[in-house]
Amino acid sequence: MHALSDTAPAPAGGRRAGVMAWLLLAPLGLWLVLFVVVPIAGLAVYSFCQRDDLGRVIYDFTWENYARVFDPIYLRILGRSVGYAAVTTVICVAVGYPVAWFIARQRSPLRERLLLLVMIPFWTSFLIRTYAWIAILKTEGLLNGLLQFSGVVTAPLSLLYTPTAVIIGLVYAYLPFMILPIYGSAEKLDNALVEAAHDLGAGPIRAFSEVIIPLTWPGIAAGILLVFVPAIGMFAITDLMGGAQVPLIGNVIQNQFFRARNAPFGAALGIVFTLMFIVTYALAHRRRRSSASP
Amino acid sequence: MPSAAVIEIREVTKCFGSFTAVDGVSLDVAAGEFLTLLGPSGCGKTTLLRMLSGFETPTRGALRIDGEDVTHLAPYRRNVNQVFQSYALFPHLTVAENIAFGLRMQKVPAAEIERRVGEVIDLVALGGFSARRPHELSGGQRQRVALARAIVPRPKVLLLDEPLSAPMTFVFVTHDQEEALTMSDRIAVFNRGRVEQIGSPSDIYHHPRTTFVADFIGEANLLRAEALSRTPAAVRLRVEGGLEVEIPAERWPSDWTSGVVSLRPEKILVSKRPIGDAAGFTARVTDELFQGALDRLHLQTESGTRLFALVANESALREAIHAGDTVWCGVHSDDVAVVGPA
Repeated sequence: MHALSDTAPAPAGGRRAGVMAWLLLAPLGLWLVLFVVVPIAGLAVYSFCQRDDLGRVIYDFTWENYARVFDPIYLRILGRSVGYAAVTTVICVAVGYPVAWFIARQRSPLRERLLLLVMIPFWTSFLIRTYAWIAILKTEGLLNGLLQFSGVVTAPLSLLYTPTAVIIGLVYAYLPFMILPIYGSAEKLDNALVEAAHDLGAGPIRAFSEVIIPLTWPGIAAGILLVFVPAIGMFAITDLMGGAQVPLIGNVIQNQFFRARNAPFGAALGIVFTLMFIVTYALAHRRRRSSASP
Repeated sequence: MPSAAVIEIREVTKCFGSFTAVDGVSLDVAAGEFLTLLGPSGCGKTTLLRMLSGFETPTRGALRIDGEDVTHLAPYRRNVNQVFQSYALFPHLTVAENIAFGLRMQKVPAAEIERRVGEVIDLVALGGFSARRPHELSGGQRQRVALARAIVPRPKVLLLDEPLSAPMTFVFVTHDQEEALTMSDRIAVFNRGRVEQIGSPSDIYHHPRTTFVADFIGEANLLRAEALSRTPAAVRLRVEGGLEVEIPAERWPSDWTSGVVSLRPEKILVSKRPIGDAAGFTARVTDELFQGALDRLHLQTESGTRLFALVANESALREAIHAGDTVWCGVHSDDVAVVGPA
C-alpha cells in the first residue's frame, strides 16, 4: 500500500479529495476542540491553581491539589466507585447478553420492534426515569405497597438510599448501552456457525463458550467500555437513589465544584480520573494488538 | 436388506405452518453408499438433510441412524457430520483448530487429536496452512477445511449440503476420465508435461485433436489416411481399410499428404447393406463380444485393417449381426477426427 502510493502518480482528483475530506471533517474538529479540548485544558489549568476563602480561583501555581487526590480517603472512594461500576457491568452483561441474543435471533419485524423497546427509555429524560425508580423503591413506594398488599412482607423494606438502590439505578441506566453493541455482534453471527458447533458435538454450553462468546466478544467488549467507564463517574443516580449514603468519585468531584466551592481540587480529581482511563485503555489496546498479531 | 441400512427414513413428513416441505418420505441408505438428493430449490431436499443432521425435527415419521432412533435426538448427540453449504468455518479458530473442534468435543486425548488432525490436513493437502485463519484461505482451501473438519470425527454418515454449488472455480485433478467428463465444464488433457487439448467434455470427446487424446478419452480406431484431392472447401481422404470421405478443408493442414484419423467405435454404423450413398467400407465381423447394453464387434477389412465398433445390443427390431458376417460400415464425415500427422 505504501509502496504503491510512493511510486504511483497521484490521481488528478486526489489533491482535491484531500481538501474535501478536511472540509467535511472541519465541523467535527471544531466540535471536539470547543467541547473536549478547551474544557479539559481549562480543567488542567484549574487543577494547578489555588482558591481564596470565597471559592474564587486564584491563578497561582501549586501541586497541592494533586497531593490531596492521593489522600487515602479519596483513593478509597475511587476504589468503591470502581467496585460499583464493576458490579453494574457484570449485572449488565448477565442480563443484557441473553436479551440481546434473544432479540438478534428473532425474525425481522419482531426483531425491530423488540429493539425499539430497548431504545424507548432514551425518549424520556434520564432524571425523570430516575425519579420513577424513586417512586417505585421508596418506603411508601409501589414495590413496598405491592409486597405488603400481597403479604410477602409485613413492614415496608427500606430499599431506597441503599447500595442496592444505587446498583439498581446504575444497571437500569446503562443496560441499553450493553444490549445494543452485543445485539450488533449477535445479529451478525451466522447461525450456520452455531449449527456447525452442534453438528461437531458441542452441546449448548460448549457451543456458547467456544463459538458464540468468542464471536460476539467485540460487542461484549464495547458494551463493557460503554457501561463501566461512565458508571464510575456517574453522580446523579448515586445522589438521588443513594441519598449521599454511598458517595462515589463522581459525587465527590461534583461536590468540590458546587458545594465545597473548591474547583481546583475538583479539577485535579477530574484530570487524574481521566488520565487513569486513558492509561488503562491504552494498555488494554496495546495488549489486544499484540495478541492479535502473534 | 434393512439390516444393512445405515440411514432408515420412515414416512417422514415436515411441515412449516401450512407448508409441507417433506411429504411422507421413506428411504434407506446402505453402508458405504453415496446418495445424492437432486432437485430444484424448495423441493424439500435441504429440509430432509437438516432432519438427518438434527437441525429440524420431523413433524411425523421416524429416522434411524445405525439402528438407533434419532428422530428427536439433538444434533450434538448424533454420529453425523455435515459439510455446510457456506462451509461455516469458525472465523476465530485456525485451520487446525477448526478441524480439531469435533475431536475436542468428543474429549479425544490431545496427542491423538494432534495426530488425526495432522493426517487429515495431509489428506486434503493443506500442509503448511494449519495456522491460518479461514479468511486467509481461498475458497477451495476453505472447502477442504470444511470437508476435513467433517470427516475427522469419523461420522457414520457424512452430509454434503450443496458442497460444489458455491460459485467458485475448481481445478480438479484426476486420472479417471469418467469423473472428468461428468464433473467438468472444461477439461485440459495432459500428456508428458504438456496440454494436449483443452475444451468442453463433449468437444474433447467428439473432436480429439491428437492421437493421445483420441486414445485416452474413450476408445478410438486410429487409422492412417491419405489426401486424394483437395478443393478450397474440402479434402477427400482415403482412410486405411477402404473408407473414402470428404472433410472440410480447414481440418486437414494443406501441407499434409497423409495423417491419422480417429473413428469412435460407436459412430460406425454397422449394417448388412449400404445405406443411401453414405460413405462407408465393407468388413468381416471376426468376433462379437456381449458388453451389456452394447455389443462390441471386431472387424477386419479386405485389406487386413482391424478395427472395432460398438452397437446397441441385439433386439428384435435390429438385424442380427454375428461373427462371420460381411457387413457395411457407414461413417459420417463429421465423425472423422483428424488427430495427427502420419
